[in-house]
Amino acid sequence: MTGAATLSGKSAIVGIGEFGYYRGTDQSILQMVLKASMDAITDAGLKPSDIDGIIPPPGFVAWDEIGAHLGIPEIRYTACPQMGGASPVAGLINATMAIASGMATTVLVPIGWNGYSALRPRPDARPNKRRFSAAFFETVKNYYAPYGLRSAPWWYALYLNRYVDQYDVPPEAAGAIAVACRKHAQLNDKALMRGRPLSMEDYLASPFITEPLRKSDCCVETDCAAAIIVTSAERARDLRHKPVVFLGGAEGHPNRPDELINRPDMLKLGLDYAAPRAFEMAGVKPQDMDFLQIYDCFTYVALLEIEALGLAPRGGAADFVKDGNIELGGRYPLNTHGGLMSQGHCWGMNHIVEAVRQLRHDAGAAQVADCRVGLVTGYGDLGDGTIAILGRGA
Amino acid sequence: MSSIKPRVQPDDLDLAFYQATAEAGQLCLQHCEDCGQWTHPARYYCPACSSENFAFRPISGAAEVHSFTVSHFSVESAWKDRVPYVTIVAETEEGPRLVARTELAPDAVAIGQRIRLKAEVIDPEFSYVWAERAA
Repeated sequence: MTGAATLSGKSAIVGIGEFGYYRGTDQSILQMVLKASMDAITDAGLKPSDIDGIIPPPGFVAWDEIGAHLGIPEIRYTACPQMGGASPVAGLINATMAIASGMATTVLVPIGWNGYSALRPRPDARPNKRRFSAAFFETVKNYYAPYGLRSAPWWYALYLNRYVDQYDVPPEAAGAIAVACRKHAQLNDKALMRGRPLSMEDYLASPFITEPLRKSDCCVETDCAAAIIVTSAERARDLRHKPVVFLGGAEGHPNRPDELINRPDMLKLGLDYAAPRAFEMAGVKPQDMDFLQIYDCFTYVALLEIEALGLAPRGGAADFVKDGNIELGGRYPLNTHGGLMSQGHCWGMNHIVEAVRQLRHDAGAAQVADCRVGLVTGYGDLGDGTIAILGRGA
Repeated sequence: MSSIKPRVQPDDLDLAFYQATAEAGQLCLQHCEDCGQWTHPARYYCPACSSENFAFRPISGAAEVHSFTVSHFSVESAWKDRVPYVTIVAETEEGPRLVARTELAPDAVAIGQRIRLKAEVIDPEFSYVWAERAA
């Protein structure tokens, strides 16, 4: 047993909150984050004074103002993983470490942003003053942006096009991700794309942004926030919901993390390093999963993550996603809330929230029947990877 | 090849890379003076031997297409009239890979194809890397 294995079963998610998903809101990022946080505290049946740890988002808002606005009287622990969309799962792992070591008892992990309104501000809106501090933005400014590679689709296309070329990945494989997410979003009241179905024909007719990425390969920008409350598995038994237990988790980073193209293997994600450690900690196999909540900023990234998880060999995700295998009713339902692709881009915290709903058996029409164990992944910045394996508590 | 200067303000070793290239008038990369490893972007410690003893030296320009993307959409004034444009991940014969622009048409670029890299010096702190068909 490795040292980290002692974390298995040490924490549980006991509260969830979500705000959004909108294209345009008059709420500030701070307001949205506070609303999701207070909803998560209330959902757990707790009060702000029960919270003693805060893991804030990697940008926009900070732990001190969150604590002050919520009226948390005594903060004992705070830390801030800086890895974009891999941060929420990293926050869950970090909260578990703090709880297992006794540094904190109950930790709030929130995130939120105005991903839509920041780029399309109302005339009277004030700009966001605070952003992120990760160093990869310097790489982007110095070496990618001058070449017309403006933001994430253009950066990631540099390696995703090699993936498509080397493994003959058909567009229908990426389309299967987009179609499954859109189908599942039809069951979610809080999905931006509810009421706007997408067929494979629609997907294939979607125009290219930058090859291999079509418009329909890209997730949807939204204004939103979400939060979870993490406490010890012991304390969780006395709270109002069925606990969702942390069984295993890990983070991993490509070599090199601050730059995309000089990695020996450009297609090796942080998740390739992290996934085996997480499964070992949890004592389960990828094939034991009842659902997959996979970070889907872009469909092709989700395909590579399926391979990194060990569910398919390199280049084999195209077969894995065929024939409804990743749709509700299939063997591995993926992003049962609609994902970043069709619910909205909440940095993957919405994936954790959905995993909790599923394992509480509270997912409504999207419920995976009698699910016991599932996973959530995170993908951030230039390929940082995180994974958490969660189970239905006793 | 005559390009407008993009908004770039490099610091530290990124600035040193661009300054070395501008001074030499040709593409220079970081070279470890102890073990001979070439590195890009430049690092304070050699990734092969951890030496801090380095210089920026000209590279041959011989390279191949490691990957590329064809962009069909842009909101940027410098690029939106150029679509579809090709951007190449070029693997130099020295080892490091660089993002390069090109005037090659989308159907004239393939992974594994041999190319030649050249620097277009824009100012002392920025140069473009261009990829051309190998002679």
